[in-house]
Amino acid sequence: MKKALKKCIIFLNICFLIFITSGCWNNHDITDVSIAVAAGLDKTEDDTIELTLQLVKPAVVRARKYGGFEESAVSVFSSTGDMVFQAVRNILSSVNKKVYFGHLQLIVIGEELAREGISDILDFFERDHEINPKAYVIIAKGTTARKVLHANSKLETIPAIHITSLLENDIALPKINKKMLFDLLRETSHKGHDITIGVIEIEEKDGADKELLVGDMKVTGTAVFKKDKLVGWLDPAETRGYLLVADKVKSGIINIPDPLTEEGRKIAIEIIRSRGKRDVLIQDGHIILSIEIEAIGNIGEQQSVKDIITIEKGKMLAEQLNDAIKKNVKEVIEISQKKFKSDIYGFGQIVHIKYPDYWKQIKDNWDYEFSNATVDIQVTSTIKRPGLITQPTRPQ
Amino acid sequence: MFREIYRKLNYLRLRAINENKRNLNHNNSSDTNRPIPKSIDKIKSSLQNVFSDCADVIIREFALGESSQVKFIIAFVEGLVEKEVISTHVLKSLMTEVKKVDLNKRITSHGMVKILKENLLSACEVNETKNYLETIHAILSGNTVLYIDGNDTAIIIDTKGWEQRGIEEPDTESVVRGPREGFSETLRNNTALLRRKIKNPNLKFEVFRLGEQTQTDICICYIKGIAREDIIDTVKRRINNINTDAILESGYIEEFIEDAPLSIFPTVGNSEKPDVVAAKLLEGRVAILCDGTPFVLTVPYLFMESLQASEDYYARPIFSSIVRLLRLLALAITTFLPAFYVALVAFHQNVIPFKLLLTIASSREGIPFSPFMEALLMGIIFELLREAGVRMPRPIGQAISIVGALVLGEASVEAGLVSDLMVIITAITAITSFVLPPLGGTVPMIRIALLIGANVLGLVGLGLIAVVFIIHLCTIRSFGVPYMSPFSPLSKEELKDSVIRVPIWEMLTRPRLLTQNNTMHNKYRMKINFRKKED
Repeated sequence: MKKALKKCIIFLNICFLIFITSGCWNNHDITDVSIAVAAGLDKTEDDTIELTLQLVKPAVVRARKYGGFEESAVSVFSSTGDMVFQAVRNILSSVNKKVYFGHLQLIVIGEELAREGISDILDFFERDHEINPKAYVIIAKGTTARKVLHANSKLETIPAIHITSLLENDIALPKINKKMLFDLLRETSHKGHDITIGVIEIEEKDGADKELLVGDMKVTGTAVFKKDKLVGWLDPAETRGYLLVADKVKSGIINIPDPLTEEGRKIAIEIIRSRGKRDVLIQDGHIILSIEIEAIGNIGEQQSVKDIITIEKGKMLAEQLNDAIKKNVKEVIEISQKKFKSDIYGFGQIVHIKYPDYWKQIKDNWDYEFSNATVDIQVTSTIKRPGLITQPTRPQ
Repeated sequence: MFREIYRKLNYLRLRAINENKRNLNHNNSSDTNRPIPKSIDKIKSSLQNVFSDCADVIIREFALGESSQVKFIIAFVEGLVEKEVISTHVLKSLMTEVKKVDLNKRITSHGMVKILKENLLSACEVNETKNYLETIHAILSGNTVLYIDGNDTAIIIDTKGWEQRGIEEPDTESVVRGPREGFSETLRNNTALLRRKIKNPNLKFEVFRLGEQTQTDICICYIKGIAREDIIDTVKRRINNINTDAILESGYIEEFIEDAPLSIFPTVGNSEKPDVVAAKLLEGRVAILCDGTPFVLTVPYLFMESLQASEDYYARPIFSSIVRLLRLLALAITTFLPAFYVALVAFHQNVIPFKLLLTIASSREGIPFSPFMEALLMGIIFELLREAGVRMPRPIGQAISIVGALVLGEASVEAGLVSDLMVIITAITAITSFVLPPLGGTVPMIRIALLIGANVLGLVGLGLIAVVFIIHLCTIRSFGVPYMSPFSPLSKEELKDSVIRVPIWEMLTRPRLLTQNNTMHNKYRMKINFRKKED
């Protein structure tokens, strides 16, 4: 009986422990953390790292749902530190709850910091167990991350969500270079592959004192890196060329001149499917970068009245589309070869896989080899459908 | 650990029984085989002694024959008998028919009983006995006993008839389609309801009498040739071992005969509907009917039965399969949902989609309790409300629903004590628990155990506790049949009536673990019967 009593007491103790220890280790209630949606990283003048965080105020999110509540749903805090982690901890001097990074949606990196190299700062985001690897990474062009994250939004309760949804528009607008943290880290680790990251820049605004809004910014364009350092920019049109080669275009519009009229009228082709294939050939010791692009498009808009619905004319249109895409791609390849000497398409990686022995010989010299390689661009495009009408309606 | 507690309890019980026996041996005065005294006066005084201060017992003396030579006594309990039967078929027939026979003192006692039984008594069920105690039992069960002067044989006349509830639709198992009749409190009516469903001499009813004080009639019922002999024997053995004061409801028997008395899972089933019990008998189960309650026990009881309903077999198979899946889903939701929510909110916020996280975070903003405390609190409040709703008289029930819905639901959210999400989760849990009435008592316990696990170790804890329950479910048996069959041990053949229900014409075999498989032929027996009918 005594033994049983002892066992009972032990059992009750165990039961009781459950209630005491339930606050420990990983059990942290949502109300005890502040959810960070966006993190911004900048270089300060005295060479430290400035971390800017956009933290959600759940109560305001809820109130704004019912309308009429104009207070911002996020609050923005900044702190500095020699390294990122220190800055993350330093922010607790002004933020009341532990910052939770599990739902980080956006990482903005200031231009200045990006020019000095990003691998050092990305280490924290790669190493920490809490960070959401699906967060988008973006470079603040001509401005600081702090400024970008201080912008407000009229369309979304949370400005960072406004920016991420802009980035997600890349399925319809192939001028946006969307990149997740996970993909970025993967591409960085590849041999012979330089990285690109999307860009956010503040457009000229009318009034100087006007409050900065996300709507005043645009996310088109690309930041080109060499190793981990920012070397330059691609403008939106060049970005499209880059994305076509990198096989990241889902849908987009390409305008081509109408082949039937001479007056500079245009036809808009909606690309519905495109496939970019990169390959490297070595002929007589020369490296040939071969790019094949297949595009399928529909006619989206036509300025002239000419009937274009015949097979021959469709072929003519396809020729025009081929030329337009080829021109676009040639341009951007030339920039990356000559201006930046940065292999943003990962041709080096293809050499590494295809000709491993050859890669060993040239890997230290790849930049030179890449910028002097011959480029062969093949484009095959098809025009599928003319839309709902065959002949445009015009005053007769 | 449970085993140890069970052993301790068993020890205490056996010790108590031993002490009882010793006491019984001390004052062992009652002899069960007492003969009936010959003299009518002795009988009368004895009866008056036994039934002293029993106002409902009527003892009537009368005399028949030439110059009232032969004296008789009839005794019965008022209210348990149909007086109409006594006056017409006992008294009237005795007193009028007596003229046709020559009744005098010279007739031997055997001859007297024969004449009475064969010529004079016009009641349908008439028995004779020489055992005095048996006559007392007979009187108390609603029979009328006729004692004869100078004769050690008494005649028991079946005159049972008392006020009873009619056959009504049971509240516990209402159906949309299917018979609406339910068992009532009278054993005989209940056996009749079963006999009406299965018109087969192989349907056996074996009567036992249990309870020292209550002397309740128990009837075990099975179909000979279908039910497994060893299961029938086990049931009989366990029932014979019951030694208790009172059996007021079949629940008393259930507690004595169940396999896992300390488990939270029921290993004995019950039903109020004859069609349900008949179906179970036909699957080879044994039913235990108890006088005084409409609830009939069925053994063996498997876990799968708690997810089955009689209507599954009356509705079309595709529909009932979908309903079965829904019930399974309901079981998962009602046990796991609060724990899952707590695990996600307290441990694994990464898993929650961002927009949902914002909703949860905004609804939890300013709530002073942790999600676990919230879930526990709401769970307990709901169980209280449910209990109150069952116990309260109907008119007050409405007041309870107002208090529950308005005060506890709306106001606690308004006051910022409970998050509105938790109210929704509790509501979903409650609705889904109503889908599974047989598991009504079990599910809340599982839910709370999972909740505690989830609060300590998150999804890992949830999984651990779930595994503990699954292991437990797989270890228990009901009358030798594994509780989780046909899933564990897996029997492909019997999955036809588990998660889904295949059409009835596709169910060719009876459950293998429940029925006798004495012949190879048995496997196709149902099919063969089916064909014979067509011919």
